[in-house]
Amino acid sequence: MAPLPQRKGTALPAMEKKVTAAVAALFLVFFLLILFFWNLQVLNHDRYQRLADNNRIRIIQMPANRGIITDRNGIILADSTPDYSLAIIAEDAEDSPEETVLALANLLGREGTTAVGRFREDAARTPYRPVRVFEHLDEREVALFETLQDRFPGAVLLVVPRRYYPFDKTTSHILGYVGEISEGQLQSGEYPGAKRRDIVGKFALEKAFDRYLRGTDGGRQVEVDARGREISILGVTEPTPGANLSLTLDIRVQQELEEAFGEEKGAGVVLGARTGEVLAMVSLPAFDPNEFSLGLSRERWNEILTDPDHPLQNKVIQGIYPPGSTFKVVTAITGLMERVVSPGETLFCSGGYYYGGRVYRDWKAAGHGIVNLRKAIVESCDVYFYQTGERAGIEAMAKWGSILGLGKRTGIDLPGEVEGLLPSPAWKKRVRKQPWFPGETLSASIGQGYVLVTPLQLCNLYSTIARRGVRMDPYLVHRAVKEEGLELYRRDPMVSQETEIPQDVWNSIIQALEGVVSDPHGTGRAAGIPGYRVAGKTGTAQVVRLQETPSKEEDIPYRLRDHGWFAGFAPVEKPMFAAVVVVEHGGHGSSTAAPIVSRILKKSLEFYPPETGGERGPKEVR
Amino acid sequence: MKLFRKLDPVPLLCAAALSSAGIAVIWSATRGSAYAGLPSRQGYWLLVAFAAFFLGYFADRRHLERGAYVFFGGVLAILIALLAVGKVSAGVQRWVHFGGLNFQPSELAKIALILALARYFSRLKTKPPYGLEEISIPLLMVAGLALPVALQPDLGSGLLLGLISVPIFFFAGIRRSAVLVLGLGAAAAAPSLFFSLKEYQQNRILNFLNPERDPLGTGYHVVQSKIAIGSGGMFGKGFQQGTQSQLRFIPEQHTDFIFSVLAEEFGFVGVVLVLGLVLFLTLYLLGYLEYAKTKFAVLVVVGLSCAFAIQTSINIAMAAGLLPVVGLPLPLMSYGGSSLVVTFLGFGIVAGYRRRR
Repeated sequence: MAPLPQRKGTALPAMEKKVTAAVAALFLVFFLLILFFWNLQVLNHDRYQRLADNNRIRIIQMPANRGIITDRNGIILADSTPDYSLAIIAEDAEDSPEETVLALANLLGREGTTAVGRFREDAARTPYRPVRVFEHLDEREVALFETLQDRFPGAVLLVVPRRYYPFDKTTSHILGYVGEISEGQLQSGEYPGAKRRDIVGKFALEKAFDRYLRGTDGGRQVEVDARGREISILGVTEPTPGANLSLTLDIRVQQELEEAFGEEKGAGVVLGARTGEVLAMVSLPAFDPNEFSLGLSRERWNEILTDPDHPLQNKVIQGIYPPGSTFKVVTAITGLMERVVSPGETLFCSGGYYYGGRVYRDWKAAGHGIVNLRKAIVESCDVYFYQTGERAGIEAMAKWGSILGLGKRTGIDLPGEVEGLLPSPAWKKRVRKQPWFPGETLSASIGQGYVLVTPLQLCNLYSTIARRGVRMDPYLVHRAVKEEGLELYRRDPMVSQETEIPQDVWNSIIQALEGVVSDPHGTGRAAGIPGYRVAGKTGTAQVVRLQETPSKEEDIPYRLRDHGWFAGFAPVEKPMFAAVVVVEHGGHGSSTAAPIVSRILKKSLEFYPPETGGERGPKEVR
Repeated sequence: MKLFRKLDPVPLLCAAALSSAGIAVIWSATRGSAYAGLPSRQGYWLLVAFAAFFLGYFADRRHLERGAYVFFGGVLAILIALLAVGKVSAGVQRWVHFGGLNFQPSELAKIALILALARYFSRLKTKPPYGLEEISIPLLMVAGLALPVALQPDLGSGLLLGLISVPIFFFAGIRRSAVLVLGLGAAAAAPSLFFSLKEYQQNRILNFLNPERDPLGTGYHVVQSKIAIGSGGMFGKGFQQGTQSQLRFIPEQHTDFIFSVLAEEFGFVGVVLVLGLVLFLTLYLLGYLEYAKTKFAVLVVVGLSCAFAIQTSINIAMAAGLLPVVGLPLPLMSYGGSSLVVTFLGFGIVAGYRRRR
């Protein structure tokens, strides 16, 4: 240490004291500085080391592709396409990230203020995470950004797979749609393994099979500099794409069915009569699932939600309608099984049935005259079934209806299926707190009143008839297979119940149903297909009970018109396809629904001729 | 060589050691960047700085005292001229260009102020301690230099001019009452001073007072500097191994925040070595008071030694987040010729008093 002044006679008084004070102050300042650095560098080293690592090491997500969905012939129904988004890493944007957002908006010719708003909302969450500000860039925008990228520090181009449905509306209710997971869904645990911002299936198969379709995201661990440029890659985990689904659906049949509806609304379904496979399932009006992949605006979402036609509802499994005359097969089977009628027995129909102090009218005011079971089904005589129902009783109809699969879910692999309703006195007591009135049995026996079915239940019922009592559960998804061929899920046709209804009952019922289409007086003649034997039944579901019967259908307001049904299968001798169509407010089933069923069964038989083994034959591609 | 026989090599060696360490850290901080040529340029500046040391060392003491006011006036004139017509670069006018050289006159202002204050107090007829009446002129001197510098705008250097005059006033002797009045005056003037600042300067002060205010804006620099220092640990990450510096997370890392780079790469051990050397050098220079025979000499030795220690402490405290960031180089180590040359010149002047024994 340098010698400090000791001698007397220095130039200033009290020098020693002042020097001592100055030296003490110096020591104090430097001691405090060293103490502070000790605290930073030694005591808090771990914390700052971690922060330094967070600074330089980033995980860049590599989102996994969602599994592809194909129809039974391998035609792609849902795919992933690359979708470009512009994101900002706030920490990398030099001065003001918000100014960068506005400059980018200017460059792309997009609206800037909402993007800034989005950015603000999101920027504070995780440091160094890119915040998406502009989505779904087209090629021109991508090229524009890439050439001028250097002007926008902190801006990065993200490639995210976007779900794409090549048949858009045609497959909407079957495939559903995808979207960003909501906070509520994240908390609920219904999407195991999903992270914030993940794209998940939100509806129909996309939702029900989400855990198969959703892959595992990968990531790259990279070292970056202060401007966010990648310096080196420290590690890579490749993303694992989700499993591919192959469906039982045939997109050609699906398209045909949708087209056959024309402008009409309603629902239609085609089942493989021997398998329970769903070949087509149409609910109209539909929605465009691609709209959802692009991200819906709030206004558009509200518009869809409040649409009086409920485009988001899959009417095949969620629409409940009175089955009308299509239910008469259940009454007939009940009557035969309970031995209250026999095929040969005849009744007289005068156009109405007097019961409990009032007249239950037949749809044909002049009456059908002498009717047996066959004629009753062929001409859809109400009086015959009033009496059959009255004799058998509501309990028996509920019993046989249930055996035939009504009043309960079919178990199809789509979410949201409803049960329909097969009424019984016990049900009415429980739910309506009222006793069962005998007259209600009469309404039920012709498929009115409380009875409610979904088109799928009805189609399942007619398939069961085609199989002569063997019940099979309908299904849509055949397999879920990982890219490397590992099968995660498989479903094959399976018998769920063999009803103990004897063959002679089936003979009577099926012959009568064939008569509906083939007899000169049959109500379902419009369902006929040249060269094939078709069986089926028309139905008219009352929307409201009108006080007076208007003379003409056109006089009734559209919303009050009845729904038209047709349920049938073909070919009769060796059934291959069963189809059900309900045309909402279509009036009589014979005029609206029957031609659609005819067209779709004909097309299905064209695609899968019975001679070659049908849809299970060698032509089938999987 | 007779001239150099009496030369005490210690201050020169210490300063050279710190400057060389500085060049090494500048090298590490600019490696692979557009500034990669700066370490060698700093090397040339070091040669100029040695010349400046001997300029101060051999300068005639009487000329030093007599020329103090002239020098002061010259620097003041340059500063004002710079404000008026100085080259505007990004709102900052700090440089004098002549030939190929750029020089920051605000650095020279430190020496000009110290010499002028020393001369003023050494010629006072009255006995200390001095009251407000006697110190009003030196206060005007301080303000006269600090104001144009702060307006450049170089707030840090302006404030520094005020701070380095404190030891001179202290050694000259001031009455307590005068200190009290000055303190109250400063407190009263602070708000109006604050509102006369540029917006970014105000933000820096507000962010210092509340770092949460804007973690991604101006507060970001301090956060990154602290991360660099803290992650250096006991022994540092190694020369050129600092992730914060090599990946350019540290702002102004070859100038104002050079100490953060040093702390990251050489750790607490490096910090203590440098701080110890700075303290040793300051105390060693203060030791030259033994040879200071006149009041002027005492005040010059005190002023120059303490200025070095004060600026070093403030810069380091800024890097560690203890003071608001106002932009001030670390003497001897930051990149920048003006600062290096002027610091050596000051050491030369102090060392010269030993020669004159």
